Amino acid sequence: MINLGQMDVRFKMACMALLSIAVLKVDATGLIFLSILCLSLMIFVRFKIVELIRPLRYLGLLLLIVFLARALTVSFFPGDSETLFSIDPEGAVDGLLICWRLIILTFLGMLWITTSSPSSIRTAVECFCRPFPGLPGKQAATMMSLMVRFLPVILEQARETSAAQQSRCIQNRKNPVYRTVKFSIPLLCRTLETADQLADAMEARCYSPEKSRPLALKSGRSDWFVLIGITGFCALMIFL
Amino acid sequence: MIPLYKPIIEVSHLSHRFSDGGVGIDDISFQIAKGEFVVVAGHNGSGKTTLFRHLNGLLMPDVGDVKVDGIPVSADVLRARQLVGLVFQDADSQIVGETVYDDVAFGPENLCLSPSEVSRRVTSALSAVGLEHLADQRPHRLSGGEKRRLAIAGILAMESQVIVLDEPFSNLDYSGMLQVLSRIVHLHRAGKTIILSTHDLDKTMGHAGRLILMKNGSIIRDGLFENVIRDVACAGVRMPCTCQKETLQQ
Repeated sequence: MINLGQMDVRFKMACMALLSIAVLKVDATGLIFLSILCLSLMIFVRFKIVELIRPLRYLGLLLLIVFLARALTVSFFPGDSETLFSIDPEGAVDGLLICWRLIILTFLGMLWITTSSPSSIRTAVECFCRPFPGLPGKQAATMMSLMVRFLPVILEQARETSAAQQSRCIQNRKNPVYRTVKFSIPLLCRTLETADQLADAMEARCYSPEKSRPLALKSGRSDWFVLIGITGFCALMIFL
Repeated sequence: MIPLYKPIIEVSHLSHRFSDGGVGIDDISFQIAKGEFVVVAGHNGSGKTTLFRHLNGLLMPDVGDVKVDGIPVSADVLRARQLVGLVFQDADSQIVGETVYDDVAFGPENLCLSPSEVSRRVTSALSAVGLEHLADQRPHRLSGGEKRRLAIAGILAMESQVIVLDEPFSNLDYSGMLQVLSRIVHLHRAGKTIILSTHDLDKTMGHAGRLILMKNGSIIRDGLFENVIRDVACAGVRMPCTCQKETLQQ
């Protein structure tokens, strides 16, 4: 049995890429099969869907906007029997399909992220970039690792800035533009300052892209079986 | 006067001006011997951090010279950075790894050491600061004292002979301060040269051997800790409580 957590992250990335292409190419029948596969994987890795509802609420809003944009038609000069907005059945089906695709892609991405460590993803990116001259794989990998490291720091700074402004009654200002400007500029300045300090700290520790980081990725026979299986499955979905 | 010891840090007639024309450091000279424990004190903006950045090659002198173990920093910056480890005031912006282990490995990996050597150094540095049990932890989950110790471990893994600490006790509670101080004292006993800046001299009394007072980019006093400590007020630094008591009793 394949353990997604222990699978070589390069193979996992390749499988996710193939599945994503399939999601974009197939029709409703194919989407049913892909949804079943995605759902089975989620059950297999014991994904707690209930815990995701809150963080994904904004995705829900986005999907609603996408659906409405597809489904609604506007007639600027409605006749007696028409209204300003009406639902186009063909557009509604289209909208549903797009939302369905986006949901599958989101869950596939989450499956990949939750079953892979940031350092293994970084190493995989470095690995994929290596055959292409001119692609700065090491720099891209370092940037990814710094992003992972600094997101909590930036979020903490955002919380602090917001709390400091609330303590001085920013909520009394009703103009959202004023509030956004007053929040984002100090946060941006602090983030840039932190980035400067980080660059100094890295330089002080002899930073160079030519690091001797060992590549700890190992692939086995099972990884190849999964990749071949997924390739076959995606080919069937797309071409049949 | 020719010193009897071989200095590991030699600063001669160092001056530095900022891009806006402000004076960062104004003609300072001093030497530090291997194994010394030196405290640099002075008010905010007195030039301590600017001086420390010159020791590590993050800043290059406009005038004068900085030598590390006999070789000018400008001649071999990488060597200087390896020999002189700089622990920044804000540990949060210094930690670059996704895990404690990754962060400590950052320096040795930059030195292009073999994976086994990197692993050896990381294990040894983490145990020197007492963080070996947190190797897989995410750095942002550590306490203030632990983050500061992690920053020190990152420097230790590079096997620096000189450890320069910029305000290592700032924003730390009492237990965090004790953790950091005990590690610094331990490192000094193990033969490392320690250069540290602080406003609070109480913490380093009894441990440091030498005190340098800075004011407006210049060194105004430099000598044995117990001799210079009585003049700290003129550098805008609070005198330690024990010294204040003695002065009152006299």
